[in-house]
Amino acid sequence: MTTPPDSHMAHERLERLMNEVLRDQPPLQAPASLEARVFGQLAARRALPWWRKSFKHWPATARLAFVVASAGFVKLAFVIMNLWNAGASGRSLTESFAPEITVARVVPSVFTSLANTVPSTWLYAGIGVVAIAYFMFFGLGALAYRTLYAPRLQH
Amino acid sequence: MRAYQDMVFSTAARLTGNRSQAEDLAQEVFLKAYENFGQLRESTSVGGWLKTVTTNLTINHLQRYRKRWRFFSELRARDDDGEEVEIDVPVADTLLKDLDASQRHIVIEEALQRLPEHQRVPLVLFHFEEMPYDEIARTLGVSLAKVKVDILRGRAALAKLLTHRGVADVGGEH
Repeated sequence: MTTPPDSHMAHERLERLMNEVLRDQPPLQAPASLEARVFGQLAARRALPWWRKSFKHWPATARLAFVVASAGFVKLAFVIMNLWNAGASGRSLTESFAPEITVARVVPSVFTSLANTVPSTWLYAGIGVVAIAYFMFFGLGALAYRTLYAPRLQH
Repeated sequence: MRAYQDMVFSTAARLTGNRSQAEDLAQEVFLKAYENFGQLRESTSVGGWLKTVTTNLTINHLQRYRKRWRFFSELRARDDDGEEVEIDVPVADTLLKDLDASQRHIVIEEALQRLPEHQRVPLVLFHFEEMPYDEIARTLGVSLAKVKVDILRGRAALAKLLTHRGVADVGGEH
């Protein structure tokens, strides 16, 4: 599809006019508060304790301790794996973690027995109610955005 | 910072159309500059670096905001890209000539702010940041045709706003 010549000339004329209008626009003046905000933020960052800063800002001793502790955890993981693979010692490992293993077995079975006693109609109805509530709040959020927030952005 | 704060703030304000968002973005830009102070101190292109970072941060901010609310705000059908644009706005060649310089600047900035974001952003990137069309399309993640149409429509809308304003001012004051 080609542009008709008159339309093309109008586009060019408009571009030249807008270039002329916008070319001489000076920069907007930054608010006086900007400088204070930046320096305030920098001061706040400097005042943070080292453990709230990124790793590269930690003291050398803290970084070294972190690396050593991490290596120790990695070694512990390998030790546990090796113990698990070696059968007899694995049994003793199972005995040490017996309470956690019991909980991990009991909790799913409680949910399973509950699901078996609840009638399926109730179960599906419950899922349906949750789904309807979810979409209702989603729709309310959209309505609130379009009526309360989006129009403000236009101004 | 004082040498560049107006430039950084203008770039952000013209792209976002919102002064308070622009101030937040300008603060973020200067904090990034502080983090990179070592390399910037010896650089001769500090202004270019600041402008690039400002543009990128502002575009990311606009796109992040748009993605978050996309489902809510774009449920209706949108304008098509790539359609032929007819310009039927009578544009006077003596646009705003009867206003003094400071009034012109204010009127133009207000008119720019009133443009919808999808027209204002590419228009500002083209006319103020001097980005070519293909780079604008790549930066905004849209097609080249859409950029051209949006810029053309933006120019037409801006010209219409300025024409009405110019006529109103001329009629009112003189």
